[in-house]
Amino acid sequence: MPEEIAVPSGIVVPADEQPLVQAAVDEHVHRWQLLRELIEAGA
Amino acid sequence: MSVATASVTDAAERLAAHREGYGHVYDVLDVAAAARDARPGPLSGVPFAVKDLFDLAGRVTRSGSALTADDAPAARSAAVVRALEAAGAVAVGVTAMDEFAHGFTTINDHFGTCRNPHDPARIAGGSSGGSAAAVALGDVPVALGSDTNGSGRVPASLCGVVGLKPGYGVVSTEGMAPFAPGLDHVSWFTDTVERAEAVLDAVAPDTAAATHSPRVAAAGPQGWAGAEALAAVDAALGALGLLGSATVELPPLDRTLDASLLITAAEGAEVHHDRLRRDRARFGASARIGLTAGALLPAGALVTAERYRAVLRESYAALFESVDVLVLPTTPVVAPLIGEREVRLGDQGVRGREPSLGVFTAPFSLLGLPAVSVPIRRRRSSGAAHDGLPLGVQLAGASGSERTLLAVARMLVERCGADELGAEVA
Repeated sequence: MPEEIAVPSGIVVPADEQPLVQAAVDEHVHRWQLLRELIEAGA
Repeated sequence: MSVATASVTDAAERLAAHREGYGHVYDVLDVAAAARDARPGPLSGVPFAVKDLFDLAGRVTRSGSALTADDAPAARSAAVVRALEAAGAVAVGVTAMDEFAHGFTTINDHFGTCRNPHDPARIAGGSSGGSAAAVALGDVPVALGSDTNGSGRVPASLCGVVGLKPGYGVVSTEGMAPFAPGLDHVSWFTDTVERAEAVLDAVAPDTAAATHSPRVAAAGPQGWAGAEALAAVDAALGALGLLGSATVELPPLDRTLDASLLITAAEGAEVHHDRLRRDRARFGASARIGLTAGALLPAGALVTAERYRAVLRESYAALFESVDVLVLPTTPVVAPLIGEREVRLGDQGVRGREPSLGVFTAPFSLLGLPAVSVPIRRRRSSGAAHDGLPLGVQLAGASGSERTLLAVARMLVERCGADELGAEVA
């Protein structure tokens, strides 16, 4: 695992914080998915 | 010393006296000159507190963060502060908040935790918790906050004070540090509904008059509400003679909150992008993780959230053709304990404390509609769970309905208000 990653916008995330950031992103992606399903179902 | 001057200096002394016990105020201002020079007006000599994200001339606006310590002092005060001062009110203190308004707790890694005046083991709510606590403690009758997903109304509910969020753009946000500019509203906390309207008179005098005989209805689904929130809504409906009447069904609250959180995350990351690049390690943990996640959000997520927001605008516009005021919980539960990370929500089971606290407030921020949280009396002698802790009921309406909401709020307080709660502070 790299010691740090730079996200596309140039923000650097240390390796030990990547899981927390990833979990927060995953929550958002889940929200996105649920909204897509609702809209596709004719919300 | 004039009565007005005494009122202002007394308020500053109360803020200072309560600061150590509750952590609700960052700075007590030197008010001697301001009190002496206070202008005559409808709010003459009324002391008010200001959330740490409003500019005050000559002071650095910290937004609850250590990252802002070296920012330049504000050249002039925020527009809403200037409007209050023009009406005679005097700023006396700067109140606690979640860092950059990112949160519903006012647990702040840099400045400590703001404690609930009704039980210091519990949160005051956030992100404007310090302002709500200052009013609940009786330090000041008015305190300014902001409301992006419920940051004004959530702490109003948990601290047992009136919390008004006018519609989007009704009150200028000039001089208010942004969190998510497309959702940010000025809000305020007051000791009474009448005082909330007096502030509205001062800062948005052109707001439309109240509708005569407004059509009021309960709003659901209320499955997200815990037993105490449902009881509070029932008390409000009973007072309004509406108990058992038809409930207006709202679009899914959880998906509405999802859209709000996605837009907030994207906009918040944009606002703080330069600081995240330059100084990321100096953010507190919650804001650091949350804002970074916002920066990593796929663009499609924002597109979808905005698309759903447009759907919701149409749904609520249709809904407000047949009703003027919706009655629903402000928060699903009473104030959680400071260390309590999960809350039990009606038929939704156990969920994370954040963002669940905002599930009932988010729709009205997302759509820029006015809403007010009204404290409902919960007697200590009832023997119920969380006896004596306050809880708010939310009234929400279409654009321009601020005064209609306040008229119904006045009725509610007269019939089942929380006038005893201020005296029950721990």
